[in-house]
Amino acid sequence: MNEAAAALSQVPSSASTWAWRVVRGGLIGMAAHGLLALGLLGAGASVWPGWLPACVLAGIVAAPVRDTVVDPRGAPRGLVIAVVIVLAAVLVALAFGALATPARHWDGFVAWEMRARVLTEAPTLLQPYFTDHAVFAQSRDYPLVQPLWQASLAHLLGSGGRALFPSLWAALLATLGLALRRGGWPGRTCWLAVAGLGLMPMLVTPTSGAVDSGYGETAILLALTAAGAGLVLRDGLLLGAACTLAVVLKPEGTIYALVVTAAAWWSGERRLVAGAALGSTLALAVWLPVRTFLAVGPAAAASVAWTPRLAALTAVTPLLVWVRPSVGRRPTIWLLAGAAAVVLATAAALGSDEGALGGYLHNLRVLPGRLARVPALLAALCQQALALQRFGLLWPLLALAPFAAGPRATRPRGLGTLLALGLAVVCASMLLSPEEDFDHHVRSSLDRLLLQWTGPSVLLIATWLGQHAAQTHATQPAPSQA
Amino acid sequence: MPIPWRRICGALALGHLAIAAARVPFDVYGKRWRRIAELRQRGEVRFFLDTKEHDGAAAVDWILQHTQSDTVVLHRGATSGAVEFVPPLIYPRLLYAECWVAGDGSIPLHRPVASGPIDGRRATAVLVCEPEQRGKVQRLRIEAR
Repeated sequence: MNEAAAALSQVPSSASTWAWRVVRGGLIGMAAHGLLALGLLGAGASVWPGWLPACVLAGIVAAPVRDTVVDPRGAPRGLVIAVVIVLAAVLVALAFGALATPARHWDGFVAWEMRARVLTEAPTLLQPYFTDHAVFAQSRDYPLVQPLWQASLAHLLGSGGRALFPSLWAALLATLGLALRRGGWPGRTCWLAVAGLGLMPMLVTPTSGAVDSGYGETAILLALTAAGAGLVLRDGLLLGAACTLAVVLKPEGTIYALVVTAAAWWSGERRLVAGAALGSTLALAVWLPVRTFLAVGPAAAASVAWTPRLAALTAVTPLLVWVRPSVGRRPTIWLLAGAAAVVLATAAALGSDEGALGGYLHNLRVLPGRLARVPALLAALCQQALALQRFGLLWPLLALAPFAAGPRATRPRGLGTLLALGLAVVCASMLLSPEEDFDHHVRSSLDRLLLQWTGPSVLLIATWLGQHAAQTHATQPAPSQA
Repeated sequence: MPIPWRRICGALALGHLAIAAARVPFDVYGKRWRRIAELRQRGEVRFFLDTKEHDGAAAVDWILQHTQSDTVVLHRGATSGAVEFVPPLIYPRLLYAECWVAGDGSIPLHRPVASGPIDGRRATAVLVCEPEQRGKVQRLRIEAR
């Protein structure tokens, strides 16, 4: 793909390189901040608010970006102007919605905003809210990095901590558009994809899970979109940052990081497997001890032996990195053995702790008995697929796009696997939920979990429907040099 | 005749953009503005706890009115539903499970326990949350311990 694209008479785009350096470096810096912050919290220290901009700046300055060629087919000026105007209008609404009041939706207020307030007051775990289990704390073992970002911004910007949310939305769109552009897709495809995701009704209308609702959905959506971008661009460092972000942002992010690692592993490129596995392992190594502290309290957490668990996780990384590309694509038994090793090592690392994720893992043993819920789940999925007020026509488009792609379409390896595994995990989570009221759980959670995968979905649709530079090169004369 | 998949997908993509863009004036702006205005007008406490599902604004108002910001407020009853909104509304006061209080009434946090005038006498306060039942209003109330 890259060779064919390079063969076109194209020129490097310094604007694209500069913008991508900011976006990619920013994502890597945010992941580094997550690791640093959790490490400090786990050690009983405070997290200095200035670490957030310092890490982001360091990521932008230090993370190398290769100058690359982009497809010279830009977008029509009218399309660019229209998309910029509409998205700017949405950004104004999101920024106003974020800054005008505190969170206005349930979990955004009681779980995420509450912890942001506690961490704004004192960015440390050594305070009763975290150490004393008699103190009421909803979603006690949820990851703390998003509230920490909000608390850091609140310190740095006065009361503007919630400026985080429209910033995440802007970073999400920049990641999607620039990844497609630098991956060799024409400007029109990139702008349409950005508009399709940026205007996603559930993301921008005021509802639970929307950008300014205070929930963690936008942040995890950004992490998964960055993972998709890493697969499109074959960028191991970005993939590693995406896995780290997924783990440190939401409980289900641990499973998503495994899904990203599995997709990278399936694609068979050593640098991608290494990036995803290392990013996931590093994040789990700092997050799991903190999670245990939050879930069972400081006294019980001190008795947990972390060395064998982290050793199990660490041991599986070289296995993933070296075995998969060596065995090639044919010996399925090796692939299954590797997948089993990942699952076992993760299960060993997660142990038997209670908590948001533990509740789901424990229900693996009752999964056969819950298969009777599959028809109801399928009905709910169909309902969501056609819920125009939440997802527009995204899911019908995703279902039909493979037929439109044709045999010559450029398909980034691993992206389809990522989405298929991700959506399978969403469905499995509905069946494994510890909540007894299945209908209520599906009603309250399914749409938000699907929202998290809209970024990779738009990325995949764009790569299927957009005409890649390599395809153009194969069917048309090369365009003249700009 | 082959099915024109690309045209169908192109139409779906345009439809998606049209549906999404059409929601900007009424939902992205209109609905958001109404919610913001409602919260500003009613205040956080009433916005979350004086609703069709929850009746607890008076109890939280009592806490805010009668207790210092460093106090610990005891609670008992349901731990889901309306009571979930209380910690951020009363922060930096903390909500503390009554069942963990020692026999002599002390708590290990070295903070004062919330107390004030209840039913005409001064007493230690307990926030009581009724169980959550679908279709019924869930109430919070302040009782003397």
